[in-house]
Amino acid sequence: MEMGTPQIELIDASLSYFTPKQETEAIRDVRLTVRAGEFVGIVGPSGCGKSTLLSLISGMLKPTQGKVLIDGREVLGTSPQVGYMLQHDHLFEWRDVLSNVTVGAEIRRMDRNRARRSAMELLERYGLGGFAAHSPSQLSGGMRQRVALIRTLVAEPDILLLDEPFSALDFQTRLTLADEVHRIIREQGKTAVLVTHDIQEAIAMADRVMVMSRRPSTISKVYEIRLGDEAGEDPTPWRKRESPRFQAYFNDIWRELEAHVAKTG
Amino acid sequence: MWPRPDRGRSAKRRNSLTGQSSSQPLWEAVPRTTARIAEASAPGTEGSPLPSPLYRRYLKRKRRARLLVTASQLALLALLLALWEMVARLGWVDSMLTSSPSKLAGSFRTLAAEGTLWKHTWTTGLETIAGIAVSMIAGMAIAVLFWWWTYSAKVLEPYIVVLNALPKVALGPIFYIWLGDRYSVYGMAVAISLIVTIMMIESGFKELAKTKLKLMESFGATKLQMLRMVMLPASVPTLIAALKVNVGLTLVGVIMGEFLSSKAGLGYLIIYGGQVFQMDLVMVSVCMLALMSVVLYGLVNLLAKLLTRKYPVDR
Ligand SMILES: Nc1ncnc2c1ncn2[C@@H]1O[C@H](COP(=O)(O)OP(=O)(O)OP(=O)(O)O)[C@@H](O)[C@H]1O
Ligand SMILES: [Mg+2]
Repeated sequence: MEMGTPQIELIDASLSYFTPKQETEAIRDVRLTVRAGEFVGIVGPSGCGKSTLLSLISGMLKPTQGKVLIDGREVLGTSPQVGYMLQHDHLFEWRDVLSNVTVGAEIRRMDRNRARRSAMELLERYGLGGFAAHSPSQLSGGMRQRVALIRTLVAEPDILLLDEPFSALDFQTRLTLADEVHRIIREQGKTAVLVTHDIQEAIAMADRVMVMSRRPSTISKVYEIRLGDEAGEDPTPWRKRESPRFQAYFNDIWRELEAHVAKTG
Repeated sequence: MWPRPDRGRSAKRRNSLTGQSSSQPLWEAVPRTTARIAEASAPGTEGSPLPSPLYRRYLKRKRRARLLVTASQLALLALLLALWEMVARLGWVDSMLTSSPSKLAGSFRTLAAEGTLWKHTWTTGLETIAGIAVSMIAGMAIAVLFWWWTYSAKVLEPYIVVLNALPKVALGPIFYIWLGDRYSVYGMAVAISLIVTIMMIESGFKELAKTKLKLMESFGATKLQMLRMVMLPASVPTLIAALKVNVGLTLVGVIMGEFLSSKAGLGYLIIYGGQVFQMDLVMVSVCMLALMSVVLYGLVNLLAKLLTRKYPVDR
């Protein structure tokens, strides 16, 4: 985990969706570098292309122009290195919770027992220990979302792409889970890109927050978040929220976003 | 800090239903009779292990409603039979044309004793089951091919549409010439049910491709993995629906085939009875046919129940 080498790199990446009726230019000329071990937050108005950006990094979409690189190599398809938690949970009703969270591990033919063990551990930790044998249809929306998150983690990716991972959770759970996920990502030195509509969440969790403009969108502004204490220690998202500078960041990003959202009229 | 109090409680409550781990002491504490009721009345359902009086009343009311429906169905059948018998006996209609339940019972007995009835029923039943199996397997294989190789689906689409619209009965003579009197029955049965099966399974696949496969894609799954882990288990409801449609259609095909060419089977018996003006023979065969479709539907329902238990999908 060398710091400084870009792990994810987008070089003037553009993507247009083509359908027989029309073309939709989702993102245009996005330049972005994410260092190994870095946590990047992305905020932007709805429909600006945040999910599209993650799909590009994951290799599920190819840029219509420009390049996407991971560890300096061009992305040609999905890779086990990348874990993508989709906006929708897509749980399989014909499998119980435990075998839902091990789906990724199964597809990638990872060690079964190891996957089950880490799955049980994560389920336990995220308050779903008693639900391993339940069917997804017996879970609430927020529980389903946690299952989807665990499914992404069990596949042990180096790079985590999280598309609004906490959107269905109540406020308390959201804060605690944010702390927990942040800790896991830091401990294991993973690189993470988090898409969210919650500005505070982005500030609290990320090292850098990027604001995307309206469609066709680019990254309009990047904020380095420095809420660590002088000792250089990395505080939890919870602690960061209590920092006096937190509000200043929030106001800045809010104003930047407001300019984009207001343009719709 | 994690498990929130209410979550923990609901987890334990659920566990106690399946009788796992922590709940054991709770069962011990319950008087035996009550525990038995709980076990008998609420296996696998949600709720507390001890049914409240209200819940028990709900169950009782449900059972009574179900009984009422069954009883009414039987009563209706008896009423219809009685009415039929009456109009024939009283000479309100010509019993040569309508026959009557008692006469039917008589000819059923003679036919059954001769053994011909069983032989013909057996032939038709076998043909139907074989027809269903062939159209289900072939239909599924073709639908999988269409999904795997989208190009083939696009190319063949107009042909499928035309084949679907074509009245398959028109192919009867062709099947007869090509396949002979025995196998043309299968030809007709499969012709009538195959295309619909393909179309049903294919549309189920298309729906899935829009949703669940995205996840498989995100993990880099191969097509074979997608097929095995998602397409097949998630298609179980579609397959069951297709199977149900198939039972009806294949029976139409088999009887049609027998009408046109065969020397055996209930269809042949019906046509023969009509030609020699033996109304009893026709009616008995029709009743037998009705009975057979009831049995087939029962089998399909049983299979459906087993499969849905194994692969639950809520839509
Ligand atoms: N498969 C598709 N075909 C055509 N257009 C698409 C497709 N997916 C997305 N788009 C369009 O691309 C644009 C960006 O979509 P995207 O899902 O990336 O937005 P988003 O920023 O994630 O929005 P949200 O915050 O609401 O999730 C939208 O205008 C959308 O209409
Ligand atoms: Mg999105």
